[in-house]
Amino acid sequence: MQKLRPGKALIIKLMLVLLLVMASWVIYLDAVVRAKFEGKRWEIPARVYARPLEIYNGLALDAENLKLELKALGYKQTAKAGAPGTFAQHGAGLVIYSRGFMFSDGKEKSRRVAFSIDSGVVSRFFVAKGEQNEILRLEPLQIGGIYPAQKEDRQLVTLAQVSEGLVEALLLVEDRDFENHIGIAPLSILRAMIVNVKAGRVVQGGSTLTQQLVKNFYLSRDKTIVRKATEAVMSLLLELHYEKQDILETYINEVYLGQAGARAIHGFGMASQFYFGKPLSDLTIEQSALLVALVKGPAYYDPRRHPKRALERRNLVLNLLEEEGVLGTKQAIIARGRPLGVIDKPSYSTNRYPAFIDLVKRQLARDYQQEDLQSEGLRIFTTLDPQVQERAEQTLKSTLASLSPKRTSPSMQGAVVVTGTESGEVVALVGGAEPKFSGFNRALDAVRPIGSIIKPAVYLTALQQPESYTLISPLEDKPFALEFENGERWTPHNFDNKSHGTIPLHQALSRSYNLSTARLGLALGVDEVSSMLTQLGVARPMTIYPSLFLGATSLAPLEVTQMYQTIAASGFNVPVRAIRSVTTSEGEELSRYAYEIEQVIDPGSMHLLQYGLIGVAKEGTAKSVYRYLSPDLTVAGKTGTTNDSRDSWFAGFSGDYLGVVWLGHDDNRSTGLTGSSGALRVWGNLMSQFPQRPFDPIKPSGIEYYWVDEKSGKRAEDGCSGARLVPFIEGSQPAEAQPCESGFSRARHWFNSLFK
Amino acid sequence: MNTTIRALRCSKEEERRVVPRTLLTSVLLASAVMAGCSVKPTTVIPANTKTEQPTQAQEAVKPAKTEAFEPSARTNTAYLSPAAQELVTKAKRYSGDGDTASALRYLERAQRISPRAPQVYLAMAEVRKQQGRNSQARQLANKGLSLVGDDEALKKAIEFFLNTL
Repeated sequence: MQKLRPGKALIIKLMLVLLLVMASWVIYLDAVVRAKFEGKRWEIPARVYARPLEIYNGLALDAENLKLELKALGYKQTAKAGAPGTFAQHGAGLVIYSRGFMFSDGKEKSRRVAFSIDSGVVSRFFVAKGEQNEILRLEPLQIGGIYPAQKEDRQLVTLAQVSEGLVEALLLVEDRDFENHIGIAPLSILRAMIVNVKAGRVVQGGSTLTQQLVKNFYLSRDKTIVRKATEAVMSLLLELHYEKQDILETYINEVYLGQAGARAIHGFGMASQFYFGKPLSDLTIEQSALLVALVKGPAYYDPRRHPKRALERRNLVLNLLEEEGVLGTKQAIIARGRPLGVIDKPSYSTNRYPAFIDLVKRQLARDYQQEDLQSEGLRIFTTLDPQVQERAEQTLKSTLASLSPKRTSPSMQGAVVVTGTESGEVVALVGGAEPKFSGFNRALDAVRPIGSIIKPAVYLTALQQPESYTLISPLEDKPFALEFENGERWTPHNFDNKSHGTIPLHQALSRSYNLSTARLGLALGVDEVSSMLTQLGVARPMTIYPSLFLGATSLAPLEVTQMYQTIAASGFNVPVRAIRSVTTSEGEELSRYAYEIEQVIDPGSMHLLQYGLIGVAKEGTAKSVYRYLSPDLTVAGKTGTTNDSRDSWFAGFSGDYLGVVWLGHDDNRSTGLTGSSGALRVWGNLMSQFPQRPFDPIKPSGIEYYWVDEKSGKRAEDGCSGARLVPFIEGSQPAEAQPCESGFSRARHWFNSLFK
Repeated sequence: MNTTIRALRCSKEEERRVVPRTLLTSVLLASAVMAGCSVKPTTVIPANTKTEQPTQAQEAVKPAKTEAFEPSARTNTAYLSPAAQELVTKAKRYSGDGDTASALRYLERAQRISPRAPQVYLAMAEVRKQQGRNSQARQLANKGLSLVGDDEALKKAIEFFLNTL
């Protein structure tokens, strides 16, 4: 055997090494290709939905608010509402053609429903098309997502959900030989080159769908020879291992089709929602053609920013379909004549309500890993009512603007929390004057002194002792000084710096007098009052000093909401909730946050407190609320102002909504506002924008109403002048009666009128 | 007292028809009560349409208008709207099939529509009992009781239910 010359041997050795390197490279690429394709291909962000609007006879609904929500859902106003996703309005009459939605309790099918809105109430509900029942449940508005770091958004679809027209258009435009090539198509490249040279510009790409997928899926964007080679090898490997159908389906879900702020729209499923507000399966042929047209350059052909370009390219795609016989001439002409049909940019392009989403995330963090929220495509159904939320944001902003004239500092801040009076569901949450900016969430994190809105806890403590206190118990509203062992003195003052002598208990509450409240508190004990606060749902530890009676303890607006929720729900503690349920992307329920309650206060004393809080609004510090509300809308509430007017609070409720408003400066400067000149204005303004039911306390057993003479505190005859009708826990009513002194005057008093 | 309070109770005939059923199961009873007795819906006060800023003059306006106010359910059962009724009926079907989770979903929808109808809370309590959650069932029944006013038949039904816990 002849010995090889050293040079030749070296070359062979080198080639062997090279081959080995190449082989390992291919083996490595093969592993990469398979790992990604067979593993979890995408991280799908969780979708956060508002509550679905349910429409039925008797619903309190404002037509303008409804239209606001329909618009946010991408509904178009037409003359007849003849297609899903449209609505029509003729005077008080409305017709809505819903799109349908997969809820966790089953699919709500698309329906056409007519109804009227008369004086804020839905009536004459009539199903014109679809399942006959009494309630129309609209699709919930998507209000945000929980995105992974790279912010890709997609909605996975299977090949079966994609219309044939779309697939054919896609293959015609992007890869004619898809069914036959082996991942790369040299002929296509050649053909594309010729076409491009002839045209003098790039009009056709030579990459197969497989190559495009590989490029997006595995590779960076730099254009080097090595990268091109890698792309080719990987494409071959992909074709070797997987079926055409799998590759096509993956492509359809991967392809980049647009940008919504920092969020990248990937896949035809998401693009269909993003551009048309409906699922892929509902698209018309020209809409499908537009999506295919976008593949080449979603920014360049952006149908919202460059509608002319987009229309031209869409029609080019339609021409191709016609040439290839996919579309008949007549159909093609009609399709080309149609407008783009793109909806306004959906409201969920970014997280639209960052403060509320923040609350949702915090409640979710107890049960879910951040990673799962960002990647598993979970669906989160929340309690947010977009109508109330939008109005709450606007109202806070406009009221703050009217309260801070430009000469003073414009930086006054505020927070609003609105819940369902009985349900405890958070329907709106505003965390600052600039609600779209996700910064410091004051609704959850601004822990501020609460001032007089604490007082109901003092009065409730008293009213739980019917043998000692009733609503008409005389209280001394006179100055006093309390000296502590360490030598410090406490000398509370009334807001008006006056003392008011001897007054009935209900009046001390409704006028929010400090001296009488502090005296009452001292008689009851600080521990008793702080334990009452705990019973009402205040979890934060508080300082146990007598100054507590006047609100020298700090809470965040959401915590105040929890306290007032217990009062509004008549003594039942209802946890304030922002989430109803979490489901998988397929709709299987993972967790539900159900309505659960615990009775913490007896109904009798709570009824008396509610009487007192209605009095605050009817005749006390909050009576200016009726500048905003109809006098028929009975509400209950309490104002709060802290030292030097640093914080302005109002907490109040109607039969439908409980709202807590806080105004103040982040640096604790004075606002120059009281609870009633600040926070109450936001509250009144907001509530005036929603038709609603009055707060109508139901008389519990063990409570009786008696006519009482205001001056003497003795029982009076029915309708005596100077008498008022007051509830008592049975047995605690005054024993002594007196005849009518100055005649009868029926319904002179606000509370009497409740019974006429 | 009674003369001044607007009586919004079932007629005697209706009561007689309902009461004997308290001896049957509470499920049957609750639906009978719902079918048999309903009262006037709670008045919805329309939203204010005026947009101008309130003036000082308006402040002087007396807050309480005495004539128009009409409380709906001060001493009686709050109204169970037909829409909520439909959901309660569906919920009963689910709980009958043992699907208590779905039943509760429907009842919560009913609660949002008629948040002060004691029938809804009684139905919720029944489903909680079915789930073996007796203490929550008791709380819910108490909630129903707190809203029952002087609807004696419904009150008896809830008390009957509480006794079965």
